[in-house]
Amino acid sequence: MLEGLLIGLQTAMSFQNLAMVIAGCLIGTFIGMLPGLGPMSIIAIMIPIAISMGDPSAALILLAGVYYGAIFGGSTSSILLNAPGVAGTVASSFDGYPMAQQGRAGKALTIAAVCSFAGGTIGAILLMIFAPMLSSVALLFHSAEYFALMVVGLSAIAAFAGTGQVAKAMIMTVFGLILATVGEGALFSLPRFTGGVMDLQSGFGFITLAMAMFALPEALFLVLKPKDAGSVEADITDLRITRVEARSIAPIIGRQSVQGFFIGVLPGAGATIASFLGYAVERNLATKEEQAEFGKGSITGLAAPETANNAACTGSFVPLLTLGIPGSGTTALLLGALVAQTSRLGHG
Amino acid sequence: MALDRWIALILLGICLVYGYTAWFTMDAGLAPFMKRNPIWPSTFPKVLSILGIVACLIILSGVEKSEVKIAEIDYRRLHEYKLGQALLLLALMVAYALCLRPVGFLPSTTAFLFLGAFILGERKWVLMLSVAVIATMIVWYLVQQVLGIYMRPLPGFFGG
Repeated sequence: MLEGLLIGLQTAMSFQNLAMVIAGCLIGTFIGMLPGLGPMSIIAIMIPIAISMGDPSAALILLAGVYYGAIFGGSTSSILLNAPGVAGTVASSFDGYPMAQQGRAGKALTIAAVCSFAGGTIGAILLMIFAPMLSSVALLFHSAEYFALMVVGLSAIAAFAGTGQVAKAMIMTVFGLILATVGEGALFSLPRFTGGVMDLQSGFGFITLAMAMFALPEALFLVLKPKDAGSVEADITDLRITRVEARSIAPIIGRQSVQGFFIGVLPGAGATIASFLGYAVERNLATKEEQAEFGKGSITGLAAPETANNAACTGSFVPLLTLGIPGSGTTALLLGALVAQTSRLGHG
Repeated sequence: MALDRWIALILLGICLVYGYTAWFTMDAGLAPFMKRNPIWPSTFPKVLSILGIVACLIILSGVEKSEVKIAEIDYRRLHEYKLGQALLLLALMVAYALCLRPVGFLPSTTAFLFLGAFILGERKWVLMLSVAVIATMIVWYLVQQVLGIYMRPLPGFFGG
């Protein structure tokens, strides 16, 4: 195992591959900032470039860099504009955007960067250690287990809801599920609640809904009640985090890296569920005073989803690299790019 | 009546219509072999409709007591805000979405940006037009030429 790790390190540390990491992360971050363009679209765009490189390692490094960059870039638009570029960064806007409104945008971006980096790095270490074992566990998950996982994910609404808000949280969850039933059902391939409209056959797009829920109200608020537009930009220079803040987010990074990674291993779960569950778990673990801060600009509330979504991205590589089974649309595209490079994934 | 109850009332209406469709009309066209399955396409919607109706009734009946928070936009003082501008902007967004396909990306986006700036109070015509045209051309070039995503640039009768 050690020999394999050293060979991997040697490959990763070559000049060409280091350049690929930097290029991939930069491209991913810039495009990920654009609301509506997630890692899937960016990787799809990068596939022809990756294939033309002719080196599977460099291609995988470039695409992985783009993937992580896109997830991190999504958090930037979540924090600054309240317009999540990627589904996995929706939870980051709950506390990141209030922080930006309070003039702590720079701090929020630093926390997002530190937590994303730490989550991704710890996830990579876990990937090396647990990948062979986890690949067999991931395969044991069938419909019943996924259903249970989704129930756990949805019941996390209790964590978001404050005192006396549970019924409201429940009705919004039900309303979200009602919207999700529009279109062709996965089980029967029959159109449901489309009203004969062809455009509704494939249902409502997640990004469309996220934009309508987060970005549109923000734009309308600005029209209804114009604010001083320069206030956020003026404070973005303060990027430092204090020692106390660093100490408070350190245990969250530890917990959420592990939790996010294991959720990411499960095919289909991914960064979105990991970030929401991470937020819910940390809110429940927090003290009463800290809980009251959640949703109002808590650094804990920002650190948890940011760490979890990047760790989950690393976790999603486990079934891909060990079994050759993509767990999500993004990893399916990565698989496509690697197969085109004639990489042998899984057991061969 | 508080705003949350009004919203609950609207959602109750939606849940009732949704529930009626799920319980009484959805299964009509179901193939006989599908009716032997324990789970039908309407099963999940039926459960959702009941959950939705129960949650709406809880809010409407006021069983759950919650502290009153003042939101960023206070609906009682809506008349003090720039409501007309916001509504016009929403109407413009809908019109833009409807025009995008038949009129083409370039004219509809230019018009949207120009009219959007006009609604928001800008009156420097040359600046508005130049920004609208340049921004549209840059976005179109990036999306169509760099990313390779096809967007009809001009109306169909222009060969777009």
